[in-house]
Amino acid sequence: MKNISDRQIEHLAELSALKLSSDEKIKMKNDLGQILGFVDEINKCNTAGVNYDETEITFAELREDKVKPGLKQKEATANAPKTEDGFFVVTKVVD
Amino acid sequence: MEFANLSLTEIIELIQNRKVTATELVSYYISRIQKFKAKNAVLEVFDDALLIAKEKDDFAKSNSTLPLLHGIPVLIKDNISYKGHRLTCASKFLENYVAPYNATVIQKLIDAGAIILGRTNMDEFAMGGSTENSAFGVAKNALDDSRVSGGSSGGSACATALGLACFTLGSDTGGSIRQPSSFNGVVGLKPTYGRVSRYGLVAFASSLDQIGPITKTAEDTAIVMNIIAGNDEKDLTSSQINVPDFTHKLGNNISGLVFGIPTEILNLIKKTKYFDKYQKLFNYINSQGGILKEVNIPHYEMSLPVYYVLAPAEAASNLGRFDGIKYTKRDESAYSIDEIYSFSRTKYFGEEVKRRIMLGNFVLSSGYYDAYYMKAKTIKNLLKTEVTKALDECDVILMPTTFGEAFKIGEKSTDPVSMYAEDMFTIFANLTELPSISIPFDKGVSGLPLGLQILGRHFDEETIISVADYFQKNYKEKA
Repeated sequence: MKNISDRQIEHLAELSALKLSSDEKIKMKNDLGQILGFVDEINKCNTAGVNYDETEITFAELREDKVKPGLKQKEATANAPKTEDGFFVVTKVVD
Repeated sequence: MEFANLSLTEIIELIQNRKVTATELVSYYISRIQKFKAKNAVLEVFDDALLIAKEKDDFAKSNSTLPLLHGIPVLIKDNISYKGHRLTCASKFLENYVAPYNATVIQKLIDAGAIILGRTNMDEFAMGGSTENSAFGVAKNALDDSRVSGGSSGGSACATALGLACFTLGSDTGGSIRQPSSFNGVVGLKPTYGRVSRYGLVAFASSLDQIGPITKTAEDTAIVMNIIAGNDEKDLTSSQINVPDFTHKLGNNISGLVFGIPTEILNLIKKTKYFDKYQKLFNYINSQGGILKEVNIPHYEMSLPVYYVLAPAEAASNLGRFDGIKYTKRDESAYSIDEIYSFSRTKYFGEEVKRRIMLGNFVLSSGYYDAYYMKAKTIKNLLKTEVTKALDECDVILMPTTFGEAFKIGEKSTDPVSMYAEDMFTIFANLTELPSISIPFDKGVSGLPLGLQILGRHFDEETIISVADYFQKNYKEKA
């Protein structure tokens, strides 16, 4: 079990763009503490001389820089909760 | 005519020989899905499936040769895009989302003549091992209503087992195809990372995700892989390595083949109540001329904690796109842009998804990034080196898919750590990017299936599929 402070939970919620009720905070603190408790095992692993993982998969060559049919603006925005003239509508950003 | 117990191979033969029509098949599966509605394996049957079936039958009337999957109904996991059809990832967040394009695997299936019949239940955003995290209710085990179907592709595995389609597709980030396949007694393959295009799959952890088939037989797996594998210019991580005919090695025997058993796995198996079942299998392999060899993956026990750093880190980034602006849902009480983000995410993400996002942001946050994320990436590399060395000494590696039979609904859902530990045997193949197939090989104390995993070298699906096929056809379990 790793000790997570209230401040840390609040900070993580902010980074995650999530709001937690006080009950949820207590539960999250406990859950994350337990998970990180077993995740902390990785610190016991001696990785001296081992490189950071660079995926050895050969990346496909980049495709030709040529315009191909893609989604139309209307199709790309069709799932948005609010649109106007093909644009995403959000609340006022600047007061 | 009954199709539920037939393999894909057998149904292909029937439809190619005009013994059955696409309409008959689709109608049959629709009524069967209805019959097993209480299993909650299928979230939606697409309403155009019968219409497409009719088109297929018309096509068959005027054409003497038919494409391989002509008229074959397929169910897909609810995180794979099928143009013009709903895709929800079993999340409230995407409840009304309609895919604007086809995933490459879907396009390939359609081009091969298949009919996409509907979408299957899963853990929300593929996070979980029991389908209990679905926003639309748990999918029950095909063989026992009181038990989980496994996850996250629980709906797909259950549907294949019950014969609700000819085969299904799942996705596997840490075992999400293999574990539910094991729990439902069917065959599930996680291909080598890069073998199958991920274009159109909703990303969970992009460096680990793969789409794969869930079928009744290993032979069926080979047939589906022949259709869905291959390089795709829309997925930069898809490999350009040559795609073989995956049926090519079917029928080979196992004589002379070297089966690696990692010592570290053997020690884990000894702790389960099924050690004798594995010994019986090992004896059988010996009797067939297979060579058993103990190999070493010294840091195997690191895979679980490494996975639970890397997968949540990638998930936290990938799920950043769900912001209340682009995808279907927004909390209407939001007054500012920040509130649109946080209110919408708070309202529409489920508990497990929130937990993983929080965990991912923890390991990525300033002050912890090196100690967790970088450290985990480094150990991932170490594991890859160790398994490559092990696979120099053997052709395939054997290990269990799970500790035991499907567990009871509710048994682990309140304790995330015990749920995560379920992935002990499956995440290794994701971390090392190896192909791995799970087949039912024996039965547990309750008479439910136990899965065996066969892992192969990178891009050598051919060998593991043929070994799986051999075991399925020749190894008779004593239930």
